[in-house]
Amino acid sequence: MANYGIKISKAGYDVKTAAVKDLVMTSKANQWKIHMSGTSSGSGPINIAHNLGYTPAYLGANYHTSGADSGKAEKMNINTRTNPTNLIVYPPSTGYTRYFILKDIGA
Amino acid sequence: MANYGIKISQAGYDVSSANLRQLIISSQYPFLKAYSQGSFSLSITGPGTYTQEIAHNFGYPIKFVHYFSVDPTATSNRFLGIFGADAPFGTIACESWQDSNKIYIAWEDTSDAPGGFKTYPYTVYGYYYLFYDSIT
Repeated sequence: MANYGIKISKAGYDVKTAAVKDLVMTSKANQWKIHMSGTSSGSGPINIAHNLGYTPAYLGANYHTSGADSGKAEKMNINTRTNPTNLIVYPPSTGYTRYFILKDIGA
Repeated sequence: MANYGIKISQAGYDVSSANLRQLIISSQYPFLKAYSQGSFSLSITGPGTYTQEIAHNFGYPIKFVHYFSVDPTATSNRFLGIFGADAPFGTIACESWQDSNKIYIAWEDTSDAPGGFKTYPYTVYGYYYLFYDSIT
């Protein structure tokens, strides 16, 4: 592979010798790319169509805007799942789910 | 700190005045740098904990994320990889941990035969993403 691209080191590291973990970024390592993001509220399961045609990776969290946990965020519901068509979420009854569907294909 | 690096703003924002949430990228903050992705399967033949080891040999604990599916012939759904739940007659859980050189992803099913979650044997499929980035 030709030696080309860009990289930026963290402060205090020489970009020419820094390990990958000590770089802010390097074009030799794939960056996760956000396909779509948003929020969803209501009673799950809620289908969020992504139209990718393959099973993507995703991340997110549940946020509480009322009740005893108001102002707190927690992991997504354990039934959250994705498939080649939809991300399926279960927002909390006291708030919403914020999700990020990634372009990166499922392994 | 020297003022160097790159930043790109979202459409409609002036890159010289945009705040961080209005930027697509800013090299002021480290990006997640993908190292590898892969998949594996675990044959669950009876009550117990079944563990898959994934070596990276970086010498430090890394960021990672994983998902799983059960019986993909019936459903293509993939779930987040960390959970625990009470199933009929037992507990099922998917959990993960790591040391400096390996990721461990485990599936636990404590149900007595023939199985409370699914009838033994069944297969769990795991999907993982590893990053160069240290968790520290």
